[in-house]
Amino acid sequence: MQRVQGQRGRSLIGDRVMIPVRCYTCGRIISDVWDVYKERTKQEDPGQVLDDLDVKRYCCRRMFLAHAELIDEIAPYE
Amino acid sequence: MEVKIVDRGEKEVLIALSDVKVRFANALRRVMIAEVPTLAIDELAIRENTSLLYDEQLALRLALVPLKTDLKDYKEDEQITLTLKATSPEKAGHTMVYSKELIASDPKVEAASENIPIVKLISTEREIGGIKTVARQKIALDAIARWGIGREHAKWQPVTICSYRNESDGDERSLLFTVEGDGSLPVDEIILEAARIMQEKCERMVEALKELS
Repeated sequence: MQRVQGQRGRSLIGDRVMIPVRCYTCGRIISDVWDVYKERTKQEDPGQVLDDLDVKRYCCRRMFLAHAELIDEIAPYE
Repeated sequence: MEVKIVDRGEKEVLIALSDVKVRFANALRRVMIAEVPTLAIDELAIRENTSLLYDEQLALRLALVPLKTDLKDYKEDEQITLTLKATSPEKAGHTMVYSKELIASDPKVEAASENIPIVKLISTEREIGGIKTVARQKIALDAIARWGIGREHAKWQPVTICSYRNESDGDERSLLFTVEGDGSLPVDEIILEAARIMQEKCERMVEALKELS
């Protein structure tokens, strides 16, 4: 069977695994508050949490909202 | 030209420039983005990496960590070594490796933000033929930080948002400048250094023209 390569760039795969260090668009450091965001959104509204964490611009906010943390899921298939 | 500080925070500075041409403000903006030097990790010597990230991904994440920089120490070819060593726990579980665990050869250099997760090291328990073992993950590396400018790579860019907009208050018109730093340099220092670099360039231009005439 022929394997078709994924269309996404390989570098993006790393960002699926862990939260990117900076915002793709503006370059602001966002990963330092990811742990807090993850913990607080279990109960609170994500928008409110991002306001509290001083993540103002929508380019940075989408980094949190659109992120899928996959590192624990790929761990067994190392 | 008149400069007024509208807001001066630790990470963000707002200044209003009046009696100034837009092209001057734009030149200042471009120098701040592309020509103010900072330190950033540029090369890695990876001794061991059994983590879930490829070496390249680890390198990119480390390069994007802003390092605290002192412009007074600027030396073009200076190299600062930072070491990072971490192992996942003995029992099944995980440890998160943060940017604060980077140890530099120069005590003045450290990550500007302590809690940037670099990689998550996971220990998994496996049972093969009735025998339980724990597979641990480890990283050990030496990173070399160098001086550089934003024109070469965005990791050396000291500012994130650096822009201006037109503001008019009645008859008064000014350009409202927003400068947000990434933590590697204090924001006021970025603005001053950019102005100094522009001045130096103009002086060099004058020198060059003098030689011609």
